[in-house]
Amino acid sequence: MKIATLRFNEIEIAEDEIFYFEEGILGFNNQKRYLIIDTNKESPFKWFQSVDDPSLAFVVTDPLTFKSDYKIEISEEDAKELKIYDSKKTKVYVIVSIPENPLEMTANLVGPLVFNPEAKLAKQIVLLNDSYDTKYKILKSSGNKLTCVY
Amino acid sequence: MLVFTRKIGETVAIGNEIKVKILEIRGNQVRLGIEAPKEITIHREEVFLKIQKENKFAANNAPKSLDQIISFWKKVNLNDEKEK
Repeated sequence: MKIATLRFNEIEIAEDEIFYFEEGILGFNNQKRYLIIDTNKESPFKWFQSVDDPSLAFVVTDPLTFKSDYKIEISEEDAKELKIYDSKKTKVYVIVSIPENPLEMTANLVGPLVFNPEAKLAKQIVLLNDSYDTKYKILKSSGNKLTCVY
Repeated sequence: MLVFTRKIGETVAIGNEIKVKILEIRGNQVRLGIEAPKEITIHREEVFLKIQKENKFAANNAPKSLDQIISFWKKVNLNDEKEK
Protein backbone atom coordinates (compact mmCIF):
# COMPACT_ATOMS: atom_id res chain seq x y z
CA MET A 1 0.00 0.00 0.00
CA LYS A 2 1.06 3.60 -0.50
CA ILE A 3 1.13 6.11 2.33
CA ALA A 4 1.80 9.83 2.33
CA THR A 5 4.52 11.19 4.59
CA LEU A 6 5.88 14.68 5.00
CA ARG A 7 9.52 13.60 5.11
CA PHE A 8 9.62 10.80 2.56
CA ASN A 9 6.75 11.90 0.31
CA GLU A 10 4.71 8.96 -0.82
CA ILE A 11 6.17 5.63 0.17
CA GLU A 12 5.23 2.08 -0.61
CA ILE A 13 4.92 -0.11 2.45
CA ALA A 14 3.83 -3.64 3.13
CA GLU A 15 0.73 -4.12 5.22
CA ASP A 16 2.74 -6.18 7.71
CA GLU A 17 5.10 -3.32 8.49
CA ILE A 18 2.30 -1.54 10.30
CA PHE A 19 2.03 -1.71 14.06
CA TYR A 20 -1.28 -1.15 15.73
CA PHE A 21 -1.38 0.96 18.90
CA GLU A 22 -4.77 0.24 20.42
CA GLU A 23 -4.61 3.35 22.63
CA GLY A 24 -2.46 5.49 20.38
CA ILE A 25 0.41 7.09 22.25
CA LEU A 26 0.00 9.63 25.04
CA GLY A 27 -1.13 12.96 23.62
CA PHE A 28 -1.88 11.40 20.22
CA ASN A 29 -4.69 9.04 21.08
CA ASN A 30 -6.30 9.16 17.66
CA GLN A 31 -3.28 7.95 15.72
CA LYS A 32 -3.21 4.20 16.03
CA ARG A 33 -1.07 2.95 13.14
CA TYR A 34 2.65 3.49 12.89
CA LEU A 35 5.68 2.01 11.22
CA ILE A 36 9.41 2.13 11.80
CA ILE A 37 11.45 3.58 8.96
CA ASP A 38 15.16 2.92 8.95
CA THR A 39 16.87 5.42 6.68
CA ASN A 40 20.44 4.80 7.82
CA LYS A 41 21.27 1.36 9.11
CA GLU A 42 24.57 2.45 10.63
CA SER A 43 22.94 4.99 12.89
CA PRO A 44 21.02 4.17 16.05
CA PHE A 45 18.21 6.54 15.06
CA LYS A 46 15.05 5.53 13.25
CA TRP A 47 11.78 7.14 12.30
CA PHE A 48 8.55 6.25 13.98
CA GLN A 49 6.05 7.40 11.40
CA SER A 50 2.28 7.66 11.66
CA VAL A 51 0.53 5.87 8.84
CA ASP A 52 -2.51 8.14 8.95
CA ASP A 53 -0.99 11.55 9.63
CA PRO A 54 1.76 12.34 7.09
CA SER A 55 3.30 15.07 9.25
CA LEU A 56 3.45 13.04 12.46
CA ALA A 57 6.78 11.33 12.97
CA PHE A 58 9.13 10.83 15.89
CA VAL A 59 12.80 10.04 16.10
CA VAL A 60 13.29 6.85 18.08
CA THR A 61 16.26 4.80 19.19
CA ASP A 62 17.12 1.53 20.87
CA PRO A 63 17.57 2.59 24.51
CA LEU A 64 20.38 0.08 25.03
CA THR A 65 22.62 2.03 22.66
CA PHE A 66 22.71 4.89 25.14
CA LYS A 67 21.95 3.18 28.42
CA SER A 68 23.23 -0.36 28.43
CA ASP A 69 21.60 -1.29 31.74
CA TYR A 70 18.14 -0.06 30.75
CA LYS A 71 15.48 -2.50 31.89
CA ILE A 72 11.74 -2.37 31.74
CA GLU A 73 9.06 -4.37 33.41
CA ILE A 74 6.00 -5.14 31.33
CA SER A 75 2.90 -5.64 33.42
CA GLU A 76 0.85 -8.77 33.06
CA GLU A 77 -1.99 -6.74 31.61
CA ASP A 78 0.20 -5.03 29.01
CA ALA A 79 1.72 -8.38 28.05
CA LYS A 80 -1.76 -9.77 27.56
CA GLU A 81 -2.87 -6.80 25.54
CA LEU A 82 0.18 -7.04 23.29
CA LYS A 83 -0.01 -10.84 23.12
CA ILE A 84 3.53 -11.13 24.43
CA TYR A 85 4.29 -14.68 25.50
CA ASP A 86 8.05 -14.52 25.12
CA SER A 87 9.62 -11.25 26.22
CA LYS A 88 12.71 -11.97 24.10
CA LYS A 89 10.63 -11.46 21.00
CA THR A 90 9.69 -7.90 21.85
CA LYS A 91 11.42 -4.84 20.52
CA VAL A 92 11.72 -1.67 22.56
CA TYR A 93 12.33 1.84 21.28
CA VAL A 94 12.34 5.14 23.12
CA ILE A 95 11.31 8.50 21.69
CA VAL A 96 14.06 11.06 21.19
CA SER A 97 13.40 14.77 21.75
CA ILE A 98 15.61 17.11 19.77
CA PRO A 99 15.81 20.65 21.13
CA GLU A 100 17.26 23.65 19.33
CA ASN A 101 20.75 22.48 20.15
CA PRO A 102 20.72 18.83 19.03
CA LEU A 103 23.68 18.06 21.27
CA GLU A 104 21.23 18.34 24.14
CA MET A 105 18.93 15.68 22.72
CA THR A 106 17.17 13.44 25.21
CA ALA A 107 15.35 10.14 25.25
CA ASN A 108 12.18 9.44 27.16
CA LEU A 109 13.02 6.41 29.27
CA VAL A 110 9.80 6.48 31.30
CA GLY A 111 7.45 5.91 28.36
CA PRO A 112 9.08 3.31 26.10
CA LEU A 113 7.39 1.95 22.99
CA VAL A 114 7.05 -1.81 23.24
CA PHE A 115 6.53 -3.73 20.00
CA ASN A 116 5.43 -7.26 19.42
CA PRO A 117 6.70 -7.88 15.87
CA GLU A 118 4.78 -11.13 15.50
CA ALA A 119 1.37 -9.84 16.46
CA LYS A 120 2.05 -6.36 15.00
CA LEU A 121 0.81 -4.85 18.23
CA ALA A 122 2.53 -2.10 20.16
CA LYS A 123 2.02 0.23 23.06
CA GLN A 124 3.65 3.12 24.85
CA ILE A 125 3.90 1.81 28.37
CA VAL A 126 4.40 3.90 31.48
CA LEU A 127 7.10 2.59 33.78
CA LEU A 128 6.64 2.60 37.52
CA ASN A 129 10.39 2.74 37.98
CA ASP A 130 11.13 6.11 39.55
CA SER A 131 14.79 6.04 38.64
CA TYR A 132 14.32 6.79 34.95
CA ASP A 133 13.92 10.21 33.41
CA THR A 134 11.65 11.48 30.62
CA LYS A 135 14.59 13.64 29.54
CA TYR A 136 17.62 11.36 29.63
CA LYS A 137 20.51 13.08 27.91
CA ILE A 138 21.91 10.67 25.34
CA LEU A 139 25.06 12.40 24.16
CA LYS A 140 26.88 12.16 27.46
CA SER A 141 30.22 13.62 26.57
CA SER A 142 28.79 16.46 24.52
CA GLY A 143 29.28 18.95 27.37
CA ASN A 144 32.14 21.25 26.47
CA LYS A 145 33.96 19.45 23.69
CA LEU A 146 31.66 20.29 20.84
CA THR A 147 29.99 23.48 19.89
CA CYS A 148 26.89 23.43 17.84
CA VAL A 149 27.16 25.09 14.44
CA TYR A 150 24.06 25.62 12.39
CA MET B 1 -16.39 17.39 40.66
CA LEU B 2 -17.79 15.30 43.44
CA VAL B 3 -16.23 16.17 46.78
CA PHE B 4 -16.16 13.82 49.78
CA THR B 5 -14.90 14.14 53.29
CA ARG B 6 -13.38 10.90 54.57
CA LYS B 7 -11.58 9.83 57.71
CA ILE B 8 -8.48 7.66 57.93
CA GLY B 9 -9.46 4.07 57.29
CA GLU B 10 -12.55 4.99 55.33
CA THR B 11 -13.10 4.08 51.71
CA VAL B 12 -14.68 5.52 48.60
CA ALA B 13 -16.19 3.06 46.14
CA ILE B 14 -16.22 3.89 42.44
CA GLY B 15 -18.54 1.54 40.61
CA ASN B 16 -18.51 -2.04 41.82
CA GLU B 17 -14.87 -2.74 41.37
CA ILE B 18 -12.82 0.24 42.41
CA LYS B 19 -12.10 1.16 46.00
CA VAL B 20 -9.97 3.99 47.27
CA LYS B 21 -8.99 3.89 50.92
CA ILE B 22 -7.46 6.70 52.93
CA LEU B 23 -4.53 5.04 54.70
CA GLU B 24 -2.62 7.83 56.31
CA ILE B 25 -2.44 11.60 56.50
CA ARG B 26 0.91 13.17 57.26
CA GLY B 27 1.15 16.95 57.01
CA ASN B 28 0.10 17.81 53.47
CA GLN B 29 0.49 14.24 52.20
CA VAL B 30 -2.21 11.63 51.89
CA ARG B 31 -1.48 7.96 51.38
CA LEU B 32 -4.10 6.17 49.33
CA GLY B 33 -4.70 2.48 48.88
CA ILE B 34 -6.40 1.67 45.59
CA GLU B 35 -8.07 -1.58 44.69
CA ALA B 36 -9.06 -1.93 41.07
CA PRO B 37 -9.33 -4.61 38.40
CA LYS B 38 -6.02 -5.44 36.74
CA GLU B 39 -6.96 -3.96 33.39
CA ILE B 40 -7.27 -0.52 34.93
CA THR B 41 -3.92 1.20 35.00
CA ILE B 42 -3.24 3.49 37.90
CA HIS B 43 -0.47 6.05 37.78
CA ARG B 44 0.42 9.32 39.36
CA GLU B 45 -1.13 11.85 37.04
CA GLU B 46 2.03 13.90 36.65
CA VAL B 47 3.85 10.93 35.11
CA PHE B 48 1.20 10.72 32.40
CA LEU B 49 1.29 14.45 31.83
CA LYS B 50 5.06 14.45 31.63
CA ILE B 51 5.10 11.73 28.98
CA GLN B 52 2.32 13.44 27.06
CA LYS B 53 4.27 16.69 27.09
CA GLU B 54 7.45 14.92 26.02
CA ASN B 55 5.66 13.17 23.14
CA LYS B 56 4.30 16.48 21.92
CA PHE B 57 7.67 18.15 22.19
CA ALA B 58 9.33 15.30 20.30
CA ALA B 59 6.72 15.41 17.53
CA ASN B 60 6.81 19.19 17.17
CA ASN B 61 10.59 19.31 17.09
CA ALA B 62 11.31 16.27 14.96
CA PRO B 63 13.75 17.31 12.26
CA LYS B 64 13.19 16.98 8.52
CA SER B 65 16.04 14.54 8.27
CA LEU B 66 18.22 12.51 10.60
CA ASP B 67 21.48 13.66 8.99
CA GLN B 68 22.34 16.33 11.53
CA ILE B 69 21.73 14.24 14.63
CA ILE B 70 23.61 11.31 13.11
CA SER B 71 26.62 13.52 12.48
CA PHE B 72 26.53 14.82 16.06
CA TRP B 73 26.26 11.30 17.37
CA LYS B 74 29.27 10.24 15.27
CA LYS B 75 31.37 13.17 16.47
CA VAL B 76 30.60 12.44 20.13
CA ASN B 77 31.38 8.77 19.58
CA LEU B 78 34.71 9.61 17.97
CA ASN B 79 35.61 11.94 20.83
CA ASP B 80 34.81 9.20 23.29
CA GLU B 81 37.07 6.78 21.50
CA LYS B 82 39.94 9.24 21.38
CA GLU B 83 39.74 9.53 25.15
CA LYS B 84 40.06 5.80 25.72
